[in-house]
Amino acid sequence: MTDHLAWETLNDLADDQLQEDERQAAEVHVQSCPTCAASLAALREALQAAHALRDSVSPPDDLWAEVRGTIERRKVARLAPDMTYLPRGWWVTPGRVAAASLILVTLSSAVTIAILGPTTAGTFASADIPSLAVSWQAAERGYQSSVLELRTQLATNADRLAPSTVAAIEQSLATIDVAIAEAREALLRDPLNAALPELLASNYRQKIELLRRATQLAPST
Amino acid sequence: MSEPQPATAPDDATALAARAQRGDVAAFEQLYAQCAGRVFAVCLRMSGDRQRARELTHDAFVRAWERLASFRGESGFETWMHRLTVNVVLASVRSDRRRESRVALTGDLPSPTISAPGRAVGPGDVAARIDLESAVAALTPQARMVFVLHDVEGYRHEEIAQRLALAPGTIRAQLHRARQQLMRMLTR
Amino acid sequence: MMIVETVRLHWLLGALALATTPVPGQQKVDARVAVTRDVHVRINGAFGELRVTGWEKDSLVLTGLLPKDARLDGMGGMGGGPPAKGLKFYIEGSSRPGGASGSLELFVPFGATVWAKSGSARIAVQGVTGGLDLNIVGGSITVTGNPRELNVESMDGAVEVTGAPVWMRAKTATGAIVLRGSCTDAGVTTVAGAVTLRDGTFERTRIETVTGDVTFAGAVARAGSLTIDSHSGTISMHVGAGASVDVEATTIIGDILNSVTSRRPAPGREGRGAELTLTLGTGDAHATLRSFKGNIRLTR
Repeated sequence: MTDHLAWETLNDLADDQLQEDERQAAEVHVQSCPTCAASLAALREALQAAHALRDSVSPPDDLWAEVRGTIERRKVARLAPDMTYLPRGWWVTPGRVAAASLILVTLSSAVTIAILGPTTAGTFASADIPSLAVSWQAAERGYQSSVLELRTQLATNADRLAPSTVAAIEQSLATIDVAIAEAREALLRDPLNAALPELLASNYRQKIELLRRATQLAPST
Repeated sequence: MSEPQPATAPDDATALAARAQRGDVAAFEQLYAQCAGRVFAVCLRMSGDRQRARELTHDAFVRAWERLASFRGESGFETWMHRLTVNVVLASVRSDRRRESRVALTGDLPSPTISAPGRAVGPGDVAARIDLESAVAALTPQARMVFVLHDVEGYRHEEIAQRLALAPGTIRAQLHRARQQLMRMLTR
Repeated sequence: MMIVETVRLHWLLGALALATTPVPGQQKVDARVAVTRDVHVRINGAFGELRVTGWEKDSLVLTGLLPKDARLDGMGGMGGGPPAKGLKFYIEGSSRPGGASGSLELFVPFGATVWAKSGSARIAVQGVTGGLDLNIVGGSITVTGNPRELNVESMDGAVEVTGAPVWMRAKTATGAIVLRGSCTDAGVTTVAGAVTLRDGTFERTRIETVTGDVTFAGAVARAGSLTIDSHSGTISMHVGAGASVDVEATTIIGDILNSVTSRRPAPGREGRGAELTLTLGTGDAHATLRSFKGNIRLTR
């Protein structure tokens, strides 16, 4: 025999990547060709040795101190907002995040102003008015904070999710956002309505729950 | 890709990760102690340079600390850490390429041909005896990346292709060339 | 020609059989482990179908078929020897795009706790009385029986439960949720899926939807509570003969239809929407139905 197996064929044989008929033909050749037999044996030996390299190599002794130092420095830096890991998404830019915070504060203030009016002293129609407004402001701040945090986490994993899954999640979030907007507008107009805070809170809970579940989705789902 | 065996029972690492997620640096240090050897090995073999491996290992653990919230415990911590490390190394390679405008060409290696097995280097030879680790380190960067991911770390062609943004067929061809390069060094 | 494939399995405890398969492109799974009656089992990864059956034996059996290039990893044991108290399985799917996914069957002791998670999958469980925690993105979840605890989460996969879970939480984005049977503590959350609870007695129930319609056709237990919040989904409450419940219904801008009694709903605040309160029987239980703009229907 004067012809030898191509290098690709030898590799595919070593990797068990050949179709059955090709594999048989290659093995028959190897059995009768000392050159190819030796090459295949050497290749297999090298691959076995390579696989055995998957063990530990001790890192430099002082590396942990360096890692720890970086972690501690970044912990301090994060007392100020760390914009490095802002979530991706069309709506999130540093400016919009700041604007969202401003809107939150403004909205809370607007709710208060709408309830209290320009003259506030002793003009409450019901003793319930201040407590309803105050409790709702605090609750909404909590919801918004949770939403932003979960959005950040979701953005970290978004590129590991199937596009169809991301699209479905965004569609559901959009549905919830419409409901939140409508309920909030109604609450601003009718702050004494006892059912509206419950409905609005329900919508926020839905949003948070959906985001939480979305952050836990496995890759490629 | 075969799953690396955890150094300790998976529940221990998961419990440590849970504590680390709450800000416990001491718990994270224990995770470091358990995983650093594997992480450094991956970085060393993929980069081929000890100093670079040190930097990449540092970056991998800092990234792990900052991304702990994404560890859900569904795989072992060491598996999660391994995946993160490979991502860190590949990201740094892409960053290095952009910075230095250097591209690892697939066609710069000689066409693979079957060659007669060379004479093994004997113990008394003056010529340098290249062991496998050194041979791997001496591969060209792209060849080393593909070889380490496939033949050392056990990634499949398709997984490597996805991570390197290349076609699986291209990865296969690069792998074969890398092995050819390696065999020539080992049998010199 | 027989194609022999091996499934590589890594165990800390127990021994698994390597199997041969006569089917090209697939590999057979066959795992048997002695376990405790309250074993905790986790199985996640790429499977297309999972059937879980509770049985009287103190053993776990996992069988089925996986694609040829899929991989099943398992780890087990929290104790020093058999039977195992905890087991984990992870399935790494086929790398071929659009490749077939696996079909698995899992037998566990009745009182086991099973946690299963996958992407698009059909999960069917029967006869498990311990705990169930089932997570999918798409596909479906079907549970038959009376698990002590049942948590099901899906994005667009449908959820169907027939039986009497003691504690249940069901969450979807757009998947429908159906519970036929009773439940002591039920929480149902969906964005746009249709929700149906029927044919049983419910003690504490809370249902939240944004746009999905809700149908409650069960009985509220004595001293029990039912709360349904909807933004635009229709709320339908079917009241059985002999029902004893106070009903408080409010819709901000929707309508209320009462065909149970002659009482007519009153206009809501500022003349919009509607409100209705009524007492059926001796009012031993309480139902609160709230909607923003969805209609509320009370029928027999």
